[in-house]
Amino acid sequence: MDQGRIQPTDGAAGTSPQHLSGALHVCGQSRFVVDEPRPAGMLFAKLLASPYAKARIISIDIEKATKLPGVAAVLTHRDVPGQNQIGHAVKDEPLFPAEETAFAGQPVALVAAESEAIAAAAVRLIGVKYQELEPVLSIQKALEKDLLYAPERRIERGDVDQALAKADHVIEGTVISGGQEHFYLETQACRAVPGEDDEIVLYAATQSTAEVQEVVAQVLGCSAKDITVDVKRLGGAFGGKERAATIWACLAALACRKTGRPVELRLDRIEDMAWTGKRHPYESRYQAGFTRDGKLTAYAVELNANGGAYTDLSMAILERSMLHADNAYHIPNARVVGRACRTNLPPNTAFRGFGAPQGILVIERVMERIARITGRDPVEVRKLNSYRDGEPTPYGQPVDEACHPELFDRLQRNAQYDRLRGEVAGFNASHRTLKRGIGVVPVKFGISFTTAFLNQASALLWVYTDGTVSLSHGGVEMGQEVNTKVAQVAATELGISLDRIRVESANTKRVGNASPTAASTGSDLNGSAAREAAGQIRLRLAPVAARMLKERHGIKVPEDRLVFANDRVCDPRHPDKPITFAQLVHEAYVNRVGLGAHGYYATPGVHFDRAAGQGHPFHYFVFGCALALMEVDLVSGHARPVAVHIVHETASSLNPEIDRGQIAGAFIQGYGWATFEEVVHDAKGRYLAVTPSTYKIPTIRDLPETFAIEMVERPRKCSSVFGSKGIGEPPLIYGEAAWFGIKDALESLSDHKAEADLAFPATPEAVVLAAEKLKG
Amino acid sequence: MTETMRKPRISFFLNGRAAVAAVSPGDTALTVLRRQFGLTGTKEGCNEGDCGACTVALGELRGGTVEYRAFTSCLLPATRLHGRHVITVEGLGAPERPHPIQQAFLDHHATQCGFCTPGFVMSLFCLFARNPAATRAEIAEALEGNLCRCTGYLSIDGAGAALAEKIKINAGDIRGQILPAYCGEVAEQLHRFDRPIETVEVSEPSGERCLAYHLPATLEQAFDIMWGIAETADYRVVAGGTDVMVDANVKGAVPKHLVDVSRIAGLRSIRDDAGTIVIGANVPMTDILLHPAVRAKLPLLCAALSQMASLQVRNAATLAGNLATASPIGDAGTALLALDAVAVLTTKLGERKVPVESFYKGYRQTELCAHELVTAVEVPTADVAWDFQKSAKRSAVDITAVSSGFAAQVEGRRIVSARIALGGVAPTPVLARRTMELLTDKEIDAALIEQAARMAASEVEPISDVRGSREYRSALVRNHVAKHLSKLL
Repeated sequence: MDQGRIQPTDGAAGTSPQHLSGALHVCGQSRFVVDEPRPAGMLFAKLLASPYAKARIISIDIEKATKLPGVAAVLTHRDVPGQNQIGHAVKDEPLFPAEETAFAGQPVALVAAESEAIAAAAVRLIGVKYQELEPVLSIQKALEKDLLYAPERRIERGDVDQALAKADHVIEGTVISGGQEHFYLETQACRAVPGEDDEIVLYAATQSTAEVQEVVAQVLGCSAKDITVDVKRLGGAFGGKERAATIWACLAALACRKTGRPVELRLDRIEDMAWTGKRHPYESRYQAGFTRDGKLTAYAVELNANGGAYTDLSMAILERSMLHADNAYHIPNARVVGRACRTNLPPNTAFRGFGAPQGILVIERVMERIARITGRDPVEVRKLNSYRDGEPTPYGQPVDEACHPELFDRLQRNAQYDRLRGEVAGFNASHRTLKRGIGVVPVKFGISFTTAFLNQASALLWVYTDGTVSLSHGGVEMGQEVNTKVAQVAATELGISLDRIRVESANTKRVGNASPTAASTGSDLNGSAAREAAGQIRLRLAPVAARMLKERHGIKVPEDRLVFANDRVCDPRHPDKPITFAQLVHEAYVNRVGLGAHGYYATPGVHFDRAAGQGHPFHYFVFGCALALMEVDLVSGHARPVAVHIVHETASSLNPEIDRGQIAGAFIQGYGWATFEEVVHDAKGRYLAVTPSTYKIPTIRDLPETFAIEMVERPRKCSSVFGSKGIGEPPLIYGEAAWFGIKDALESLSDHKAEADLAFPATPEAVVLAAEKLKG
Repeated sequence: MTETMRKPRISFFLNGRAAVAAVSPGDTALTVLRRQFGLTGTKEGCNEGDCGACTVALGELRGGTVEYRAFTSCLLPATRLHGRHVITVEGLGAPERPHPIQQAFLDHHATQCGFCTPGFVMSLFCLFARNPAATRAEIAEALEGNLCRCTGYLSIDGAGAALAEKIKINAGDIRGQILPAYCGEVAEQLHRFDRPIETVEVSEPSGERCLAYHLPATLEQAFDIMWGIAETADYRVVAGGTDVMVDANVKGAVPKHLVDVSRIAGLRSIRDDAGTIVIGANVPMTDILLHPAVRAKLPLLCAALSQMASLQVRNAATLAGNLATASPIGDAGTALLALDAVAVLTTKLGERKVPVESFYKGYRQTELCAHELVTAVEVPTADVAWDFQKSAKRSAVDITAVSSGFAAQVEGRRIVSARIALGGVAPTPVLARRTMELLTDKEIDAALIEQAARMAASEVEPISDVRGSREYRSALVRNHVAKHLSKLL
């Protein structure tokens, strides 16, 4: 090794080391909840779910089920020792319904038995008498009946009515978007293991350790200290295990408490798809006023979300929709109204994007229509309306470091936009049943929980005397590689290689009161907390290191000039005379220097006044834009992405390859939502597509022929740990470009004179039916 | 109450060693690998063969060498492992010495949450073990049955492409790079393998479960077993198992006896007779698609089969199974109907031949009598103009909304006769008879196409369901028929 230079730290922030669990994953050695060895005497729980979306429960007869050999417990609402209540922010959701079911798939009873087969057999022996009632399923019906989770919310800026009256053009319309099934590959699961002194340890597949702990304690009538939640990793979550994982943990914990034995509750795929909430369907209405040349001057929008049977996270999701109603556009006069409807579908819940995609879709429809009416290019209209640096949002926060005009320029350059438009016109002229179209969508996504107090995190870091590190933080690893990124932060701060660090499971004993791993904040919050913890250790080690350098090498160096890098500490003027990190740590230990630290971080400056609809809810914004060239087969209705170009500003990425993976994965997920992922229910509110044979998510065949991702890496003032930005959710919205591309392709049938009446998602059915209409 | 259950004790090879397991008759390979052998790298994602997370490599002697194919272990009856070599993700490499495929996934950041990863690795393993010169398209074909919700497939595609490139460069020792070292020894043992399945009788509490798994070696044995079971409702015949096992796994439809006909040697051949190709009941779809005569003479059938399900499922599923299950959206049936194929049905007493046209009796109902098996399908190889169209929600690996097969004898621009079969528009695949009549002895032109397309749509009354509305299906019939006929222009 060249001793004359300071070697960079292996795996430091800004490089792309391998996935921390990658070698385990590819060899099948990483363990998910149900892969862990089974504790002795473990029982298996199965659930009886309500077949009716809304029904009065007349009686529940569990006698036969209880008597089946091998059954340890049959539990209903009568068996809840604490509160029969799993609501967290809003307490409106029972663990088991006592009088009335609120959605089809709601658990009414639980059986714990020696095997899954016995539990399933016992479930069939439970006799429940229901009186079926008329459910409310649609947004329209809920609005008619005034079934709202809270009074409508408002965000307002300028004078919309006056601006509408003065506008050159005024348009109005309705935008409907469908739900989306999370389809994490690992279904919902929890194991509850009893300990001594009434303790229960929950190995739960959840994004929210603290929430599970609190709610389980509430249900069991015990304290938080009696419940430990431990999460090693999730097999995907995408929001579907943020709030929606809590109920399964409560049920497993209840069965564990009642039987005194370990209990595993795992939903099979059909149960998971049939019973759990999804992305919120929206039905929104807008009015927009704009100038002759396409500048939007007034925008009034009502965003209506189908919240399902309980509040869940609907109000926060609605809030994010409202806060993204502007997307990337400066609108001088805006009025955003939001309503979350109570219906009898499974409680709709968090899903990557958290309401933003639905809010953004509406204004993107508006942009398309402005382009059509003014005869301008849709990208030029979007550029014209984009935020300039520092312009205020409707809720008053300035959009600092806004850069959309520039990002659009890059996108047009990368995709050779003008040439592409010409090629598409040529293609459509020469093909009868194949048509191509282009869709473009920008994203401006606010990073932070809009519930300000959630923007805090802790990390616990131990340096052992051999110089290796145990790092715990509140984030849950679910494939987004928060563990890799947080470890990179600690490695950088301590100047040690990544393989010296073990990131521990997320555990309420090591890191309490953790916010859910959500809102694209996992690495920002937990990385910042880990940096804080590592920084404390470094501060304590510095004097020891200075003394060692002096004693061993006769080098005198101020503590704050020491360089920690590449598992060594040195004076930058004498990089050839370092001490090793292991030597340093051992020396510190024998000199009784503390080697453990708790780091705490709270995002500065975020606040939002819900009543006024004004504030500064976001730490910073993420910016980007995407173009999708789609090809539609009018015979079958199938669409395929020919080329996708994405330009995404990552600022100073902690790990560019992770970010690239997040962008690609989010795009394809958004693409699925916009195209063929269709959530359908029958007239009784039962989901119909509850298997992967009927609900289709994208496969490798849906990968665009050309998939070009430009990550714009550059220092940004508005950013988080080591200048990085959150990445998880924003790129999902790029998937909407596919929908606009399909619509553009269809409109070639009318020579772009008539607008295609294309449903969202643009399933092959929607495509065929829209084409039929256009053809007349 | 207890019932007597006959548990098969099977012998097989699992990764690098010989294995013995007493399995329950209804067990899947997935359950046995995870529970009895603790190999939890094989994951359950859906339990119906649609996500690929449980993919394993199943090695079997074919023409003197062991060939490895990808199977979704959730649809693979455990008893079928007997005498075979199973490789799971744990059998390829370990974190300290990963297999080249595993290394490629690491290098390309092609794993995120990791749950689907073992299945992808195994699918790629089977591809490269058989075909080291795999192209990008073949990689996509091998992986289309594996769902990933995290990566968006970009990094996985990159890993596959890089791997193919690497294999090309190091072309010298391909098998050494891909096949684990123990495969040689296992192959020798498979050549010598002659252990029978032992049976252990156990008394267990009664319940809804499978009591016996039968694996006859001859047709005679199969008929004896079927006749020995009092009620025909008490058994189901398993060919590929891709429908029976889905019913058992997700609908809880567990028959008391499973009669597995997959090892009846006489049913595994394809014969190219004069004017007819005879496809044995147990030939997996993959082998049908690989057969030179089928590829040369039955392009319509190939078009239909290659769009059915995923590679994992095609490695198991059979033509006879697809016919016998009699789904209106079984694309093979639609293709066979268009080709005017004949099903060979066999009982203990003899065989009879029934045109596919009269084989279907109603929704999930067929001409098959009690204790009768589909043993072969005879497909005429007349030189026809042909087309096959399939529309579904997703363009790859999806079940049909509407499929249609078209076969016509043409002379110049004149249609001598035409057959149009439609799937997904009636309780069974059906012929568009009036349209066929209309087309007989006609010159093809745009007006005829338009007329035929409308007539075909008016001939059927599709229903609305989760795969599509009536209106959409009618439009598809029109579009498909127009597309078929436009190929004659």
